Amino acid sequence: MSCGDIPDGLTTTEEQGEALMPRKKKVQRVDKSLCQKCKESKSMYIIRNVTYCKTCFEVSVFTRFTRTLHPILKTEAAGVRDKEGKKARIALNQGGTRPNPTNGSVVVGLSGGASSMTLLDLLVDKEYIGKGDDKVIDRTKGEKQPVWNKGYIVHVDFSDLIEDTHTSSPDRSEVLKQWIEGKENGLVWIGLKAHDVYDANLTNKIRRIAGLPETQEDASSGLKVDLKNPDLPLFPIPSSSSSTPTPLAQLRTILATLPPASRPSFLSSILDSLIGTAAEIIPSVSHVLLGETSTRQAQRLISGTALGKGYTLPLELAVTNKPMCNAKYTILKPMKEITIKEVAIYTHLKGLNGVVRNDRKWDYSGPISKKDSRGKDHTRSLESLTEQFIASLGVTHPATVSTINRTGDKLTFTGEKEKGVSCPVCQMPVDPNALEWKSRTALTALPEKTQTDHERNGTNAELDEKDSLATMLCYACLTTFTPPTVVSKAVKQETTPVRLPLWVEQNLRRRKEVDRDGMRDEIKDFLIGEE
Amino acid sequence: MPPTPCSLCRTARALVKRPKTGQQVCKDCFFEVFETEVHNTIVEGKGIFERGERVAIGASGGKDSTVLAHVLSVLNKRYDYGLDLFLLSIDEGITGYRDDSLETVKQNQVEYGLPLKILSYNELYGWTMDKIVEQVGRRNNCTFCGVFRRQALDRGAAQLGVDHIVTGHNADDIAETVLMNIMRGDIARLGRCTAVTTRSEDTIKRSKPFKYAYEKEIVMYAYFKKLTYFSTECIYSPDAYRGHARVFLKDLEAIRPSAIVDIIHSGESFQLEQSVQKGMKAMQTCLRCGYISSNDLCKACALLEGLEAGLDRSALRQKQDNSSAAPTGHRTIPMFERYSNVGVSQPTEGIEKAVQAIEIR
Repeated sequence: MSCGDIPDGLTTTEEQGEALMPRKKKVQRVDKSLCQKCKESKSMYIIRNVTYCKTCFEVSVFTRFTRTLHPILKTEAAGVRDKEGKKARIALNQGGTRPNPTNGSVVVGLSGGASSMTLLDLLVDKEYIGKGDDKVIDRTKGEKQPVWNKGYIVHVDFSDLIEDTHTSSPDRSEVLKQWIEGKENGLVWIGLKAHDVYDANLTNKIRRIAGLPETQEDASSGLKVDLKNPDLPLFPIPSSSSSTPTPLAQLRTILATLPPASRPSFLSSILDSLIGTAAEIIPSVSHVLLGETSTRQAQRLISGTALGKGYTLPLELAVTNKPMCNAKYTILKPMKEITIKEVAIYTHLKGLNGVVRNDRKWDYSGPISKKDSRGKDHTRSLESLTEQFIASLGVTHPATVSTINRTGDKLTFTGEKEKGVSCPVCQMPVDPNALEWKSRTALTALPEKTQTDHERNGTNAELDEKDSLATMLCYACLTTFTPPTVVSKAVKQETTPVRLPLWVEQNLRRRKEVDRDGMRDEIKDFLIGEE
Repeated sequence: MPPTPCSLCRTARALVKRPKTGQQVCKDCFFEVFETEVHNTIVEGKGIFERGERVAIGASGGKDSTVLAHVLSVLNKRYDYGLDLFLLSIDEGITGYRDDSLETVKQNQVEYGLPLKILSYNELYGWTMDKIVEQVGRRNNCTFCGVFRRQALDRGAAQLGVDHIVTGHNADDIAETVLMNIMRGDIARLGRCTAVTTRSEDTIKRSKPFKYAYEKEIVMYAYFKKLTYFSTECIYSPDAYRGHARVFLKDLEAIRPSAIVDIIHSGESFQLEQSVQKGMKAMQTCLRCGYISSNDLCKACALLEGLEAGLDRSALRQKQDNSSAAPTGHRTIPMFERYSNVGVSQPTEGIEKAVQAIEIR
């Protein structure tokens, strides 16, 4: 087989053999025992064929952190309107000087995994978060001006939902809380549980921690949904109903009804909702920081594609995202350029190994039957399968993660974010005609042949059916909630509709109110006097 | 245990479980729902076809193209699309694979009574895939085959005088392509790969009526309808990058069967940034063979030049020597004529057409 690149003038096979160059570019001979950055200290880590000593490694991580974070904060401060932040990143100083104070507080989502711990460690060590005491900074003593006045750490614990006896997932809130308080930076710890999404006292709980007075809770009626019916009909729960199960029981019920493949997606919505709720209640929060690494982002792009989230992925992947519904805060992901391997090394370097634990274990939430572990290596969700796939592909094709992220960066969201309708579950814009697309591409009924259950039984639904949730959801949430046609025995036992989490109920209520206002706007010219 | 009734008609006994929805259905309902979904894909929006259009079915003898030929013939009659159907087959010159599958295509020609045209790589480019793989190896051979086949289909279609090519790409193929394009960073293809009909200036329209049809359901349809097809995978394919995407897709499908259409839905929703769209190259024609190209030389001419000169991987590089004349002694691809005289190259007539010609009215 010829390999080409034969210089002119060489004809004999012997000379051709000598002229054949190896295809791979030869790495310059370097002394791997020495750091290639400072060329002085002993190298400790090799990342992408470059050796680093401890100090240079820390500097490298911090530089990339600032290169992502600073331009966004500087753009916001300068009032330059740039949707994607790309031009800002290029035009403005990349990294460089510290941005001006935002005069707001920051909420940091802390899962206890390596990347969120690295994020918090950087923010505190480099004095980005103040102690909230309006202290005057003395630069001559090397003190730095904090960017945010005060920091609130939100941790959501999912351990109560893990039912698989083979894995243990203890509640680590106390361990993390002690570590946070040990930092003595005035950080406020907000430890929440996943089932707080069913707790009517959640708002007051957060207000109490934030030092705000409690408010009267609105005891409005709840909503139930029948997850076994593809139309997802909604039923109101009278507020006078006597026995109310505990929030944990309610969450466990809905998880048991969902197929295992849908549970991580639902838990992810819970996490986003809880962090968002905390950010809205706590006063003057300007930013929410999440520790999503580049590896996690690549996984999110691929798993989001597999979940049908293509319409809103550009919003999710953006390094800066302002949530819908006129939120006062912006979500930032400053760890976007750092890989999962690097944050693992960082936490090891900083001696955080005792506190860090990377085990979300959402795959093991809810009841599992033997039939459910159909995936490769007993994976039960698309998300964990994607993680494994990208990790294994990265071995043979090292540029996989960066290529995937570059592709994701070139996608854009074309809908109208401010004016469009948002999904009550994930609070992202709803793709147009999601339900119609689904029913057209996968027929579940033949027009002349198939009768609906009502027509066959000759009865109308006995329960007071109001609306169909399926018409309001985005495509991805619709897929999450759509019942599988083959239902496991555990789910068959759940005969009654299940209660929706409170944030979903609130969004549905808000939607009705908006609809009413919208209707009024249309007919206002024809109204004579007030109602 | 009592037999389960069909979920669609509720009368007959359910014999199959639909891979797409998991519903248990009887055979007749399965055929009907499969054909109806394909019909919906064809007529959605303004519709893929126009009345009186001459349509060439890319036929390889495999399950997708065999079922496509069958279903299109059935739907053409049932819903009166008014199409003139042809079979177009490409012989890549793969011993033990393509030569066998071509026999299946000839059987299809007889069964459906459609005219057949076969075009070979050897007659068009002077190279067979066997010879190419011998020179190039097994890692990038799919690139050569894909580029050459695309041009060969267009040329065959131009010789038949057809306006439209349909291929048997199914939902699994398209979902794999979406994933592969994301993983390889191929933005240009990502933007186009989910469209049911693709068309550039001055090329022949191509459509994929099986866009939402699962591969498993196509096999099921062929099995129950007892259609004959050649069932082996290409002998050169295992090492291709697409294999990674394929394995991943199968694993996704095992966890959630709707993942395949969900990926297609995501792919359809992807929009590229304006700056990326403007950065993409404008189309021009190849200086050597006249086929559509984004550079001075089309990819097929570039690859062929590489093969002729004995340079394999260098031909896959982006940059090319922009000389329109091929080096002396090298084979070149004949000039591409988009609208050839239809009488010049008659396809082998199917029996139906031959009968119609002599039928006494």
